[in-house]
Amino acid sequence: MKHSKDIKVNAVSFSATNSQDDQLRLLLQTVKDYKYALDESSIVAITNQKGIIQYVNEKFCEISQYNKQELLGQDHRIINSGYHPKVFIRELWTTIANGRVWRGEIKNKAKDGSYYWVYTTIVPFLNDLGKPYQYMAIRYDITQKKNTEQELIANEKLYSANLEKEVNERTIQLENVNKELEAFSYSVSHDLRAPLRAVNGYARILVEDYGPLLDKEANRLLEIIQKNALKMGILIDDLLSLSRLGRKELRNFTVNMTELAEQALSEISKVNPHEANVTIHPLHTAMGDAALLFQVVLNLLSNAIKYSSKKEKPVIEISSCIKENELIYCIKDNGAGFDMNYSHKLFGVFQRLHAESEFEGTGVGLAIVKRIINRHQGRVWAESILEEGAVFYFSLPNVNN
Amino acid sequence: MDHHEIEILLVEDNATDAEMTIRALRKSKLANNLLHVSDGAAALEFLFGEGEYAGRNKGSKPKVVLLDLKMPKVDGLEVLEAMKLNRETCNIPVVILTSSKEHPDVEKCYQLGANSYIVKPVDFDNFFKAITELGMYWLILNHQP
Repeated sequence: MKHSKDIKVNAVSFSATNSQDDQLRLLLQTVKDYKYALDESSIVAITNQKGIIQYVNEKFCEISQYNKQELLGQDHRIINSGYHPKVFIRELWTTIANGRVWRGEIKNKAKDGSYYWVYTTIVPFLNDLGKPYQYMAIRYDITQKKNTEQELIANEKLYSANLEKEVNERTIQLENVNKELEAFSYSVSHDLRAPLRAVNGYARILVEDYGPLLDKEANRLLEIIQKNALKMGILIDDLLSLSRLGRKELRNFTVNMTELAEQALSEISKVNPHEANVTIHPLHTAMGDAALLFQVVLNLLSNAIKYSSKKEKPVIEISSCIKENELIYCIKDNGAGFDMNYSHKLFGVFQRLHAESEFEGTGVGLAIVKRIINRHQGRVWAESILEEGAVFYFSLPNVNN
Repeated sequence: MDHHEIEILLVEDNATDAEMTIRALRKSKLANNLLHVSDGAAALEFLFGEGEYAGRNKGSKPKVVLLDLKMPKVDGLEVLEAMKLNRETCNIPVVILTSSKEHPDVEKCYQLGANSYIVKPVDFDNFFKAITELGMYWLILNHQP
């Protein structure tokens, strides 16, 4: 018995001076102690090289519900659960037949048909030719652990199936909401505009056809009607573009921000001549949707121009820098600025920090900026000193490294 | 009105929009031979000489059809489709009038062969300008095949 050599050596060295009898007794006692401890802790079975059961301990009988007579002379098929595939069994046999120890988890079937799981170590014992002449299987009951494990797996599967179902349902819901929103936007843009066109148009007709017959005050009132109809038209357009932003798919490309800022400036200057001295420093290249980023720069730049228009020498600067993982762009002006106490309202829809009589606007521009930058995983913020100017920042994920 | 001479067929369900369109065209002296119908069904009856317009000389075709998209009964898209599918009407230029460029059908209009479209702005000046330019272009500058 090659594998028991270690025990023998230990036992001998333990009491080298005793007589041979004593040594033998001690040895037997040691082996008995080992066996006792093993029987207390484990399910043990010994088979011959063909797998026929030669020995089983009490724990084996207990867990399998068979008595020794029923087990001896049988092979392990008696407790086979049919759970493991043939490959698994074949691999087990190949391992031990080649003299190697096999370890693994096995599901077995007890006499009453119930199943139990055992963590199994099968140790082959080799003869002088190196061939196994018997196998000892030592097993631990892990049924409870396996049951918990399987429950967990089942729960997980159920959970992920539910999750998937929920995600699908939500997606359909979202798609429907999106469609509804689209129909709503269309309806808003179409149906709200028609009456406005009539209000503005008929007031205009009145001015054209009867203006000379009306006094100055009546003409002033008609003008206010027209102006407000126009303003509501712009409001509708702004709101629509804000709502469209949430739905539009982002097209991510490398964007030359310097060129983009120059284009924005020339567009603003074309529509709205201004006195501002605008410096565009070389800007870092960004990754994002060029059309949307253009809108951001356009809105921030036209704000800077608008709010500095009452200064004698409006000065605006656009620059960029890299801080940690962010690309930061800033647009600085020396205009009216805003009260930092209200900075949290700056990027809200229809929020304005200046009276309309002072600076025109619908209060949607910065909300659009915020939404676009958020969709690019960036941030927007601003700093200002009232009457001295403002700096608006937006950040984008840094793609330059 | 003598239907033989119709140059502009205005298909528009919104009475105020129609009035403003006609006014703009009239100011440019382009509205003399204009027929206004207020839905797509009437437009098709006129174009194909059916119903109320049975017996009209179909050889006399309008030089341009100004077509609103959103209309009751038969909408603009359906009128356009019917016109382009018919040999007699497929060559009449069609200009789409729409309240919004957001309109999901604008693209479809082009696919179906609309010649151009104009967004009816809230701003009267722009509306006036757009209508006048359009009238000039299709009545005076554009020669039909």
